[in-house]
Amino acid sequence: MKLDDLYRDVIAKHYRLRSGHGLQDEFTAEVHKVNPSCGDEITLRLRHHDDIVDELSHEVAGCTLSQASASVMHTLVMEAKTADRVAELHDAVRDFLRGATPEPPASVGAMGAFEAVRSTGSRVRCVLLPWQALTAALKSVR
Amino acid sequence: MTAVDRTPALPRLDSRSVRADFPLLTASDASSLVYLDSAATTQRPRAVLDAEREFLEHSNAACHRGAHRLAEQATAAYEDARTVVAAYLGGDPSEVVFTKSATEAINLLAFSLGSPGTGADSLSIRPGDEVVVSELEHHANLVPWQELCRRTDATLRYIPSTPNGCLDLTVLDEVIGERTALVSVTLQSNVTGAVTDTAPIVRAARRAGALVAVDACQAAGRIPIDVRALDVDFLVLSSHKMLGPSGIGVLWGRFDLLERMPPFLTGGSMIETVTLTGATYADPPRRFEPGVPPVSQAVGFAAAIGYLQGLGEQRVLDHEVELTGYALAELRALPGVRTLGPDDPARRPGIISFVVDGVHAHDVAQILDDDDIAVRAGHQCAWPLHRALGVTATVRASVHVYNGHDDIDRLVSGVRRAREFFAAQGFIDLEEHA
Repeated sequence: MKLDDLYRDVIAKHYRLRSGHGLQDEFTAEVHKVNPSCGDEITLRLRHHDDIVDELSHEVAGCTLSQASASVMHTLVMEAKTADRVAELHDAVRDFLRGATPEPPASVGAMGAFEAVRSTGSRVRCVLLPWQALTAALKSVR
Repeated sequence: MTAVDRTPALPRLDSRSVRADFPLLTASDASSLVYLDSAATTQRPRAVLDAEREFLEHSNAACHRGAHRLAEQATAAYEDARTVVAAYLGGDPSEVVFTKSATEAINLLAFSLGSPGTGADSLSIRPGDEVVVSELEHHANLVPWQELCRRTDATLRYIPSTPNGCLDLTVLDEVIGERTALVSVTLQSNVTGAVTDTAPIVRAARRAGALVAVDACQAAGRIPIDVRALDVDFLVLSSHKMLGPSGIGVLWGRFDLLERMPPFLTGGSMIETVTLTGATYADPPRRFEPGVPPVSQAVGFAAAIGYLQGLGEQRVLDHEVELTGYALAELRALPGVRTLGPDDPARRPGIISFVVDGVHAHDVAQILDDDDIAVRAGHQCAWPLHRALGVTATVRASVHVYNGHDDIDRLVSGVRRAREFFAAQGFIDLEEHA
C-alpha cells in the first residue's frame, strides 16, 4: 500500500474541514464510543424530529483517519436527512470498508477516498469508529 | 551495593553479531526491517528455536504422567526448565509456578487470594481490606485486582503517577496503611520505561503487614532480577518478552505463602487424592499447574534465559541503557517531539514512548511501517496512565539485545519523515507544531 493512496487529498481536506466538529448544545441522542485497541474516542450528538436527522455534531480524539471519517460522515448524513437513508448509508460504508464491494460504490460518496484502508485491519476500525457511534445514536432514538 | 565490583568490564554488546543469532531479523525478507516492538514481544534466537525443536523431535511426551522413556525425559526437561527459571530469579524451584502467561499468573494470584479462606493462616482478602496498585499499571495488573475487589468487597487504591510517569512515592504513607492486604505494582512501566524503586514500597507494605507482588514483565530480560534482594512475596513474568516462546509465563511466590493458597484452575495433575465427593491438592508449585503443561515452551524459555545469561545480564542492561540514552537524545532534538518518562536512561532502560505534536500516534506508526519500522501505537494497555499524562495515544519504540544505533537512526529519520509527510499532504502546519 502506498502512503499517498491512504492519505488522499480528500482525507486531508476533511481532516482540516472538520465538518460537524464541536458538540451542539441541543440534541436528542448522545453516544460515546471508543476504539478499545487504541483508545481513540468519539462523542456524537444527534438532533432529530420524527424520522428526520436535523443535526449531527461530534468531538473526536483520534487519528487523521477517524477525524476525517467523522467529517465526511457529517456531510453525507446532512445530505441523506432521513433516518432510513442514513441507516442505508451506514451499511453501504461498512460493507465497502470490510471489502464486500470491490470498487467504492456511488452510495458511499466521499467515503470512497478511504479505499486503501481496506488492506489494513487495524485502520478500518479507525474509519468505522464515527459510523459505529452514528448507528448507536440512531438505534437509541428509533 | 557496597563491595567494589572487581570483575573486569566486559566489552560492549555487539548488536550486529547478536542479530545474526535471530533468524527472523536476518531473513532475506527482513533486509529493511527495524524491529522496535520488543516490549510487546521479543524475537527469538536460534538457540530457543533449536531447543524447542530438539525437544519435540526427540523427547516430546506429556510430563508428570506415564512411566515410559519419553515421559521421563519430558518430565526431566520440564523440571530442569523450572530450575533454570528459579536460578534466574534467585528463588527455589518449588516457588516457580508455570502459567500460560503473566496475565494468567496475576489472575491466579488474584483468584486464589480472593477465594474464601479455610483456617487461621488463610491469606484471603476480606471485605474492608484494601488492595493497592499504581496508576502506571498495564491493564493485566489492574483489571484482575478490580475484579478481586468487586468479588470480595475490598477497596482498590492506587499510587498515582508523577508528571513524568514514575510512581509517586511521596504518598505511600497515605495509600498504604493498616487496611492494606496486598500491594501489586509494576517493576518497570511498559509505557514510560520507569523502573520502580520497590524498597520504600516494600517497607511501607511490611509496616502495614501487607503482601507485595511485582509485575516484572518488562523488567525481566532487561534488568537483572533477584527476588530475595527485592524482598517481595510474588513476582510475575512472561517468557515471550525475554526472547522465549509465547504461551508460558511464571508466577514466583514465597513457598510458605504458596503453601497457604488454594488452587485457581483445578483438574488433573494438581491433586493429591480424589474421591467422587472431594479432592485434596498437591503441594506447590504443582497445585497451580493443572493439565498437561507446555513442556516445549518451558524448554525454549530455559534456553532463552541461558542465551541472555550467555550474553551477560549486566551487559544486556548496559546495552539497553546506552541505546535508550541515544534514542532519547536524538528524538528530543526533533522539533515537535516529546518523550515521556524520566530523563535518565538508567532509570528507564529499553522503552521510549513519545508523541509527535499534531500527528496522532497511529499516523506516525503508519509512516514508520511504510519505512518497515515496527513500533507500538495506542494506549499500550495502560489507559489510566495515558489519561494521567494527558495523552490519548503514544508511539512506543522498545529495544532489545538485537537493536543497534542504526535502528535508532532509522527511527529518527522515520519520525522526521512523518512530520514532513503530513505537512506536505496538508494535514498539519509545521510552524504551528514546532
